[in-house]
Amino acid sequence: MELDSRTWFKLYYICLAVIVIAGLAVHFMEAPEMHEGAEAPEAHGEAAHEAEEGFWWLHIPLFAAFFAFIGGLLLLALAKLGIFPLIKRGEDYYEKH
Amino acid sequence: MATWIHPGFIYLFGALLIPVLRGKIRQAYMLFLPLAALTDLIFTARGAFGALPIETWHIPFLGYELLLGHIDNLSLFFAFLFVIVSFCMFLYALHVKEEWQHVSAFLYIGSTLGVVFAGDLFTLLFFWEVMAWASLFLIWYRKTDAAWKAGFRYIMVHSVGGVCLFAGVVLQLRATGSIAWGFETLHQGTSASYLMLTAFFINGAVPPLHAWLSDAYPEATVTGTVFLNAFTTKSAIYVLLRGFTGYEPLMLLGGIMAVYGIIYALIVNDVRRVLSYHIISQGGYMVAGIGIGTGLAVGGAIAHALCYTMCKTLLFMAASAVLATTGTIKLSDLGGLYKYMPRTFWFYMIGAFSISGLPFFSVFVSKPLVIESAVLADQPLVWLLLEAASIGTFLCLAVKIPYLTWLEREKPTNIQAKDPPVNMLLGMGILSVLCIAVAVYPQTMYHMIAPAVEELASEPLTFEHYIAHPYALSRVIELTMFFLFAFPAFWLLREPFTHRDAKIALDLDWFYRVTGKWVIWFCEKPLMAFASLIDRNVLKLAAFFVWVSRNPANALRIKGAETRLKLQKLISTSERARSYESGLERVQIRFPGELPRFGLGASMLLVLLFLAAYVLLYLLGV
Repeated sequence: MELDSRTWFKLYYICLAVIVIAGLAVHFMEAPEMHEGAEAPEAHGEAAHEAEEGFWWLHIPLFAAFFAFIGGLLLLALAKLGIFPLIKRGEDYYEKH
Repeated sequence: MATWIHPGFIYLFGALLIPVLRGKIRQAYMLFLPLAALTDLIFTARGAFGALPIETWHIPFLGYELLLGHIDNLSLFFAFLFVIVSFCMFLYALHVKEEWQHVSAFLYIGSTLGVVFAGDLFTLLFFWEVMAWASLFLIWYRKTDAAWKAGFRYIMVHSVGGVCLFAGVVLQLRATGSIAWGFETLHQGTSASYLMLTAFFINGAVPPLHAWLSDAYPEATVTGTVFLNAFTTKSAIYVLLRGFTGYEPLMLLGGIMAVYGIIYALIVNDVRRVLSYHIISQGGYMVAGIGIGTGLAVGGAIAHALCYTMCKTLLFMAASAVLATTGTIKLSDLGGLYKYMPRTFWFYMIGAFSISGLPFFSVFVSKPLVIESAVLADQPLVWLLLEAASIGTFLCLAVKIPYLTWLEREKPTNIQAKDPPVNMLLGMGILSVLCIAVAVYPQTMYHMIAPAVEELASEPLTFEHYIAHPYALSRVIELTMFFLFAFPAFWLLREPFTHRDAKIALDLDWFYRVTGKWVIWFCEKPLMAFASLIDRNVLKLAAFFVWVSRNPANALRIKGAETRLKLQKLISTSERARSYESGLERVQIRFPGELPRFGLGASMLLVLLFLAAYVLLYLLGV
């Protein structure tokens, strides 16, 4: 069965919605004690506790989504629009120089 | 107890028979050798030659004892990786007719295994050099002018690396009197360790010593690149693990490496060059992990070496299949290949999803370990760089390359495209299965890594905590979200990428490619002109002394007469000068003439004069 690009994009939007809901659900439901400032379960040990704490920005809901989108835009813009025009040369550059 | 056989020697000596074998027998033999090495490793792991660590194959050399077989958990893990991957590679390259290309590949892999099992610095140095020279022929066998030049630059850079390693070994030997090799013996901060580190950085393609990789690998043969991608850089990671675990500067260097490689991968036009730059980027994760040095980081670096090597090899195989069938691998020339090469496309996508680290694909069970270890070690900048490179990897390999190569626009009419021969598909197929299998059931890999982590890393417990739940729900959702939201970034900015600039991007190899030409010009033109000038004048001077020595008295007379003639020409009439000149010519023709006769007294005087001069010079200390 061949799928056209519109159907692919519909599927993609559904996936986006599902993952956002799942992300929010996991964020607020899986470890509520972390958000309330409680101690991590002892069974995980100190290292796991530290990992769960991590950097403050990792606790922002849907941080991964924002970071991936903004980071992707910045990276592509930096590479293709910022750096490439400065360093691009013709394919025969090294033959000529 | 049975005697251990070095798996590297199975490759090295096995290669000797390849040129004499033909057809199916040669093909079967090429697959037999990796399988024999794999069997050897399985027996070793099962304790057939004793409990690990084992030290065997001692060879006396110049008063030292070489140790060719230092087998511990780390070396065994890397050996398994290299042997398994090499089997898939030889399956992929089975159709290649040039037997010497296969010989090069076998020597290359054999010497890599030599590096892995080296228990002393001399052995390491020897196999390090063999590795560089054997791999060179995988580039030169492309038989193009670009390949010839790139190969030449490749071996020049690796020779510099070899010299650094040699100098490091000599200094280490002078300082300690020992050729032992390992973390315990290599004291960080010494000149010896810096020189060795430089050599390891060159092979590991750590910026700014990386440019040889993106310069040479894309110019290698169709199957040569597939071999090259896996061994040189990963053996460098192995030696860094062995000698520099916990060396803090590697943390940030790894992060920079990851971003540097991915930025170039996003902009270059040649797909194999994209993948080559991406080797540098992924090497960054392992280097950062080694620098962080905790159990989680070191475990992640080792796991990443396996997961990433498998999927990167798969990607190179798919890219080389495109090159083999279409004759080009430039994005500016490709497009719409999906209809014509669907199997290759799906194998490529498995490799791309794996290397991006999507859940249930191999790198998902390795790369997050290093990134989370940066969080645990409280290294926000390293974390940021590694995460940025993760986004770039997905956008570059799982979005940009498939879009521009396989999906966007119709296939250009001037290229032919179809799926490659069955052996190439099989090679890709096996690696695809492995990429998924290792992700679905990572515990086997983790259990193999755990003892090595315990030997090398600080805080080994962090690794054990992680591997208990690699598929934590929050991690799966977070990473899926990460990739789903990265995609629209490309979609919004796709316009500049679809222009398909047939341009190259300058890199640091500019310094030795362009300035190298200047140096060659300087040597060929002004320096050679100066040298020939000096040469001519020295010869003239020597000839003059020879001439004078034939009759010094007459020679002095002639020279005096020549000077007088010049003066005559200036001050007297031309007739007088002409008669003087003819007189001089007669004297010159008669030269050397009769030698002057000295009496005994004059001779004694001369001898005494020379003796006095000698004594004077001696006393002055000249």
